[in-house]
Order: sequence, then C-alpha cells, then structure tokens
Amino acid sequence: MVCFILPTHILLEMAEAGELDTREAVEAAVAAAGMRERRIAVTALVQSMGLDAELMPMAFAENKSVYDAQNGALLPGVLRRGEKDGPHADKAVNDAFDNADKTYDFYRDVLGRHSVDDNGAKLVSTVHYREGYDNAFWEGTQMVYGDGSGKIFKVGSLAADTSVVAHEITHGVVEFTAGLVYSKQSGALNESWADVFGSVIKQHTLKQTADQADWLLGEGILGTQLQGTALRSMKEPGTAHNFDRQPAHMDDFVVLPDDGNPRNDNGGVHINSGIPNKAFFLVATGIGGHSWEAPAKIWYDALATRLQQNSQFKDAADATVASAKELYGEPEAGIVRSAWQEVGVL
Amino acid sequence: MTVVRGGGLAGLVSSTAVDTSALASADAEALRARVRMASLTDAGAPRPDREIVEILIEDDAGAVTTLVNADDLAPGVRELIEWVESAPGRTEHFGPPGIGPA
Ligand SMILES: [Zn+2]
Repeated sequence: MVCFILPTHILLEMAEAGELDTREAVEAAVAAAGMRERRIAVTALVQSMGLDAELMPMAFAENKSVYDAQNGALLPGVLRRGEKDGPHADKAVNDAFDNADKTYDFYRDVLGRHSVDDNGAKLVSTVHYREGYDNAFWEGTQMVYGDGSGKIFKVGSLAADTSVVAHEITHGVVEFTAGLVYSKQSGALNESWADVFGSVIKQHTLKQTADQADWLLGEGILGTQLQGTALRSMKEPGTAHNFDRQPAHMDDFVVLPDDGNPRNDNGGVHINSGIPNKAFFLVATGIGGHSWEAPAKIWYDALATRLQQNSQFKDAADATVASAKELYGEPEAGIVRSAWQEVGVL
Repeated sequence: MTVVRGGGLAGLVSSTAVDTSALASADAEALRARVRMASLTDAGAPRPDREIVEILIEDDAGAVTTLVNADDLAPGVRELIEWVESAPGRTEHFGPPGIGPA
C-alpha cells in the first residue's frame, strides 16, 4: 500500500512513470487531500490523466447507514442497512434511509454539497431510540429518531417525514458552515435554515412549485395532545397547531431568556424562527417557480459564505440580499429586501 | 416532585408531577440526594433539538432543582425520571414554550 504522506503531485508523477499502480496512486492522493480545494485539484489531475471515473476512490461517494437502538439509548446501535443493501423488513429503517437519501441527493445535485461536511461524511441514522421517544435530533455526528409516543408525535412518523429528516440533517450542515450558536436570534436562524431546507427538500421530492407547496414542517405527524395540521407553518407561522405561538413579524418577537430552563427553548429558538421562515416563504413565492432554484441557492450561499456564529436577524437579511445580488442581480435582491421589510427585520 | 421536559424538535414543554408527601422521611431524603447528585452532570452548551429536563422537588425542607440533558442521563437519574413519568396518580400538563404547561 502507498504511503499517504507523499505529496499528491509525486504520487501522480509516479503513476504516470509507471512506478505505481494508477488506482493505488489515485486512492492515496485523494486520501492525502484533506482539504476540499486540494481534493478538487486532485480530481482535475486524475481526469487530465484520462483515468476512468470508476477508478476514483470512495472519498466522494454517498455512504448512508441506518442503525437500530432497539429502544435503548446506546448510539449508534445495531446496523440494519448499509449503502449497498436493499430494503430492510423494518419500515422505520427504510424511512430513515430513503429520506436521508433524498436529502443527500438534494444537497449534492442542487447545491453541489457532498454530505453535511461537504467532504463526503458518512450519513448515519439511528431509529427506535428509547421507548416512545417524542423527538428527533442531529447528535453532532449522526441523526437520531425516536418512535414517538402517539401523544406529541404519531408513532413512526418522525423518520417517515421528509421535512423532519431534512431539517435534522440541515442542522448538521449549519454546524459545518456558519455554526450559528443555538441561542436567541442566532439559534432561531439555525432553526429557520433547518426548516427552510426541510420544506424545500420536501418540495423538491414532490416536484412542487412554491405556489403548490404546503410550506408545512411535519405535516400530519402530530399526536393526540396537539390539535393541528403540522409542527410549523412557514406560510402562516403560529397557525400549525393549538400551542404554536410562532410570530410572523418582528412586532410579535417573543423575548425569552436562554437560561437552560426547559420552558424557555434556548431563548425561543423554535418560536422566533417563524420570522425568517416567513421571509423565505415570501422570497420563494415572490420569485416564483421552484423554491430549490434561486431562493434556496441564495439562502444556501448566505449560510455557507456570509453568516457567522453570532449572526442576528438583521445580519441574515443583509447576507441574503448580498447573496441574491451577487448570484442573480438587483431584481432578485429587491425581492429578498422586500421580504425582510415585510416581516419587520429591515 | 415535578419533571419538566422542554426543547426538542417541537420546542414544546411538558410536565409530570407526583405527590411525594406520602414518602417516609428516609425515602424523601434519598430522593433529594439523588436530585442533588444529578445536578453534577452539566447540561453543556445548547445543541439543536435536544431535550432539557428539569427535576424539581418541593417539600417542607425547601426546593431542590436540577437541569439535565435528556440524552445524557446517569442511570440513577433516568430511573428517577421514569419513575415520575409512570407513577400512578401523576398529573401531566403540556404547553408552548415561554408560557409553559397550563
Ligand atoms: Zn431543529
């Protein structure tokens, strides 16, 4: 096996000179290229050598797996389905797998992003976490899904909902990009970006236009203790269920402390996200057509290149206006600016 | 004794309360000690969609409160929470963040 420490250009020269097996050289070169820029350079070099794309090693390849916590709390649990495996007998396993697949493909095909870290990180999911657990979350290295108790969430609904799965994976993307701190306004932006891509990826899967979409997060997943249609509505924040108190305008911003008290939701991150959510809805319907085109590309560009850990709503407005102007021009930037004005941020 | 859960994907708040006044004083003190022990586990920096659990004991000797991360519980604390959330005669409430359970 080739030593990974050798610089890429030497490996490729050795391959060209016939001193190394080309496949081995390519694998070693890509493995050595930790940084994205270097990896792109290696890809270009490999292609310039006329090598078959099939020879490219797996650094970029999609790699999803689903584990079963068997109602316990140990992660990741028992492997039930790997990337190349067919469907499993357990529906929850296939739901988590298929929705992670849709999300991975969206980020790659629409936004050119390879997994949460843009470096092909394995996408690991665990289902059946604890017993009747009413939650799903991005754990820092993987997704985790409870089965739902039937009270807050319907049994089996969390991993089965594309918007929920895409929301959780997007928390991973946020962590690897802007790293928005999960508190007050920056935390509400973190939540909002997860909702935006949760909804956009669902729309992409259903091939809906912005006008056709329901703009709901977790449609039909609510259990018996909640009365409503979904967890959140981006079109009409505050109307999704009987305990939904999301504002759609800065006049109704809910000020809560971030004091670790479970009643205060890290300073209202799941409440005030209604404001940027509404702004994105206005942009998507204002530009028209498919939300995953200009609107999502503007929002992604702002996240990946402009937003920072402590960005506030005003910063998000400025960032998306700047991204719209740079990527598309003044008409789109104007629509973005108007949307943030309509929700009272600008 | 009350267990309050908040945060998570929904951001909602649920609370479960049980009346522990019938416990023998030795048992009550053991309960308080367990809650004090639990507070040694730091909930850490806030992370997306994680549940936070507050455990509260109120009795004649005062109130003891602790906050823990629902996904990082010491076994004894998990037992305590499970005991409250499955105790006969418990009362459950549910509500939005900020306002909390009715
Ligand atoms: Zn979230």
